[in-house]
Order: sequence, then structure tokens, then C-alpha cells
Amino acid sequence: MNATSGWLAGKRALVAGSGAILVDVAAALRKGGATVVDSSRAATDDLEGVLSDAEVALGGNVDLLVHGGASIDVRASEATSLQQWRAGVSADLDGRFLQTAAFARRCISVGRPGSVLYLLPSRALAAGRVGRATSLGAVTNLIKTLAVEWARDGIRINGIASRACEDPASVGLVVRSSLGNLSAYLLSDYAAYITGMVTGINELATGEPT
Amino acid sequence: MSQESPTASRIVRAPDFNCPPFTADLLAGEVALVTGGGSGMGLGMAVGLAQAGASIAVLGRSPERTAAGVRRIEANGGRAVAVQADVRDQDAVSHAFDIVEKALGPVSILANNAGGNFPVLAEVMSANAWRAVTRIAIDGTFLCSTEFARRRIACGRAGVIVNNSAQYVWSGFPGDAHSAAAKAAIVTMTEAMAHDWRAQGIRVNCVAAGFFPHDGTPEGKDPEALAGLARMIPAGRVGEMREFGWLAAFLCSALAAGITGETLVIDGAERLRRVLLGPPFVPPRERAVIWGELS
Repeated sequence: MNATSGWLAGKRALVAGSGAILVDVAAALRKGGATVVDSSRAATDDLEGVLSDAEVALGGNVDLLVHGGASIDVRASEATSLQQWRAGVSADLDGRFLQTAAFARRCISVGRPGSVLYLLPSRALAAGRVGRATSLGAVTNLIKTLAVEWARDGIRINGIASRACEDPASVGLVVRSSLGNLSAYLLSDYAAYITGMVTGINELATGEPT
Repeated sequence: MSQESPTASRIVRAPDFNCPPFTADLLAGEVALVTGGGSGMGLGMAVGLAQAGASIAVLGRSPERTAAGVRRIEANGGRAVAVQADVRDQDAVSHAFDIVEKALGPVSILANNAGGNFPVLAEVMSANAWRAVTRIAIDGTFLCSTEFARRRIACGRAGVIVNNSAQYVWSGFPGDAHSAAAKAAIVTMTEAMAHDWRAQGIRVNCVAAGFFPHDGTPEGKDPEALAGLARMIPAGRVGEMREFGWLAAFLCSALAAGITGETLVIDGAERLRRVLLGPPFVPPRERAVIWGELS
């Protein structure tokens, strides 16, 4: 028995979007007792279909949604074409929103609570990160907005913004393990009063609003 | 009367107190000093840490209150001692650490909670009122944290600090200038100390909390007041102390060994509620009650 076992007992989770860290998080959810479907490698615009397939595979409604978004290339702003810009931001921002809205519609329609976790890139700014920063700003405020819109439906949404999410190999195993544990905690009912929050792991950032 | 909003149909709650998110060996062998731990949110932290297996030093100015905190922890099967000190007094803080060390062993977890708060308009706030709130929270957190860090560094051991802040640190708190300043200072102090002591393995994190009513808050256990609070919070309810204590204990545990310099918010989205077209703004000075009134 591990320290987190039972946190997510009986929960059914869908892991979507992209990013190597999703493997860690999916493993953490399984350790917590959840049944997990990982669709993170699926390239599809059929977001309702992703949910329907997950429900079949899980044998019931999806309770938890983890979304890794899409990795947006690091590139100088002036060297970014409109096509590149839209491809990155659309994949990340639109992909998260549309998948989450589809998830929430199902929760609301059947009167079930739900919990969403976004894995996000670091809030640290550096040259070439305009696409990531733009999408991160949008997604951060989206989290705050959806938390309020769906609070009375029992649907919570939070985010973890960390270097570990965009490049797990750049951080140590301790940080990766903590990210998995925090993910499981935030998705569990133990965090029932936490919603609309974005936190880091070990970012040592400066006073940014969460 | 229910404390929940009558319109809320799907309010999510944490598991019961007797089903904590960890077993009692998670913090076994750890000694946690909790400032202001005899009542309110400090007691919530102390109980959560004790549920995870830490021995607790309940620090406060009032012998009665710290003794009550100890009784509460012991009644739940935990181990605790009371120690008296004013967190604004550096010598008293150092002496308190000595006392705890003799009774329980070296302090390995510090929970900075001591604080006070009351509504008052800024232009009529006395210097004493300003200093009372800001110095307990700011100086107290600084003095206890630095005492803790010096001792951990001296013995070459890692350590964990968790600070208690508030959900209004990013928005300000009209009618509460002293607490708004003090609680925000704790968030930035958290980040700075996490930087300072990263190399020594001392983690520093913070919990920014919303409404967690207890015996010391104005609404206390008044069901009507609590129902009014619940209606104004998106989550449809107030926070329950075990949720706050468990989050603090999680951050202090090995489960969060890679987490430092962070502030986690637990407020049921209370800080985020707004309507674009709302009722007229009433300045704090013109309100019947400075913090506003429940409907």
C-alpha cells in the first residue's frame, strides 16, 4: 500500500492532450486507485468521440479529466508565421477548452461532479516563448472562469504550471514524483474546496497571481 | 438549518475527518511547531499534522488556549505539548524552540499561523492596530522561520515550513488594510525564503485560505450566518477545517518533497466571484458593516 492509495478509488480518469509528463501523472492516478484511459497520443478533432470511447473503455462516466494541452514551439515572435502561430495556440488553447467543455456538458447532463487538471508550461518568461506565454495566460484565466461557472455543478478545475510539465527530463525524480502526488491530490475529493487555482511545483517564481 | 446554498445541488465535500488522506506514519518522527496553534486555523493545521503522525508543539500567548489545543490533539490520539511565546519577541521565540526541543526533540516542521484580524477603515486605523496585525503576521513569520532555519542548518538537517496566508492577497481587502498587507507579505516571504534555503533542503510553502469558520470568527457556528457565507461562495459552502489541515500536512510531507516556494489557494473559488454588472459599489466607509453584509 502506498501513501496515496485510495485517494482516487473508484474514479474513472481520461488523460488527454500531449506531453511526456502525462505518463507520470497517469501512473500517479492509477496509484491513487483510479482507472485511467490515456488518449494523449490520439490525434483527433472528435472530442466527443474521445469521451465516448473513454466511457466505453472505463465502463462508465468519466470523473476526472487531465489535459496536457499541446507543446508550442519556442520561436522568435517575428519569425513565427500565422500558420505556425495558429497551429500552436489552437492546439493548446482550443484543444483544452473544447475537450473540457465536452466533459463538463456530460457531467452536467447526468448530474455528476467532476474534476479537471491542466498540466501547463512554466510561467517563467524567456525569449522565444511568446506562443507558450500567450496560451498560458489564456488558459490560466480560463481555469478561473470555468471554476466559477461550474462550481455549483460540482465541477472543479485547477492547473499545475511547471518546467516539469513541459520537460520532465529537466527536473529530478523528486519533483516529478511530487507533481504526480499533487495531481492526484488536486483531482481527489480531499481537494474538494480547491478550484480555480494554478500552482507551480518548484518554480521559485515571483508573486504572480494564482 | 443547512449551511449550504439552497440553489446548490451538487456540492462536493471532502471525506470525513476520520478518513484523512494519509496514514498516521506519514509524518512519524517529525516534530511540528504550530504558531497560534491553540485555536482556529492554527489548530486546524495542528490537527492535520497530528493525524499524519507528527508530534505537535502548540505555541501561543494564552496558556488556556494552547492547553485547549493540546487537549484536542490528544483526544484524537496525537502527541502534543503547549508552549507560550509572543512571536514578535525574538528571545521568546528562541526560548520556545529550546523548550520544544527538550520535550519532543528538534523541530522539523514549522507552521506559521499566528495572526489577527479585524475590520477597520484605513484612515481611522491607529498605529497600534496597524502594528498589532502586521507585526504578528510579518515579524512573527520572519522570526519563527529564521529561528527554525538556523537550527536546521546548524544540525545539517532538512526541514519544512508552511505558512498560512489568505485568498485576498492578490485582490487587496478594502476595510482591512493591515491584514491585506500582512498576508501578501507572507506570500512573497515564502518565495524569498524558499530561494534562500533551497540549498539547505528547507522547503517553504504557503496556503492561501478562504472562509474556514471556527469559534473565533464573527460568524462562529451561527447556522444562519454560515448559510449566508455559503450562498456567496461559488462552491456553495464554506471550507471545513480538516480540508485546510490536510493540505498543510500534505505540503509538509515527503509526498510534496519537490514542492517549494509555492502558494496553494483553497477557497471554493470565493476570490474569483464577480459579475460584470453588479450592485452599486459602496465604499467601505459608507457601509453599515465594513466587510459588507450577508444576504
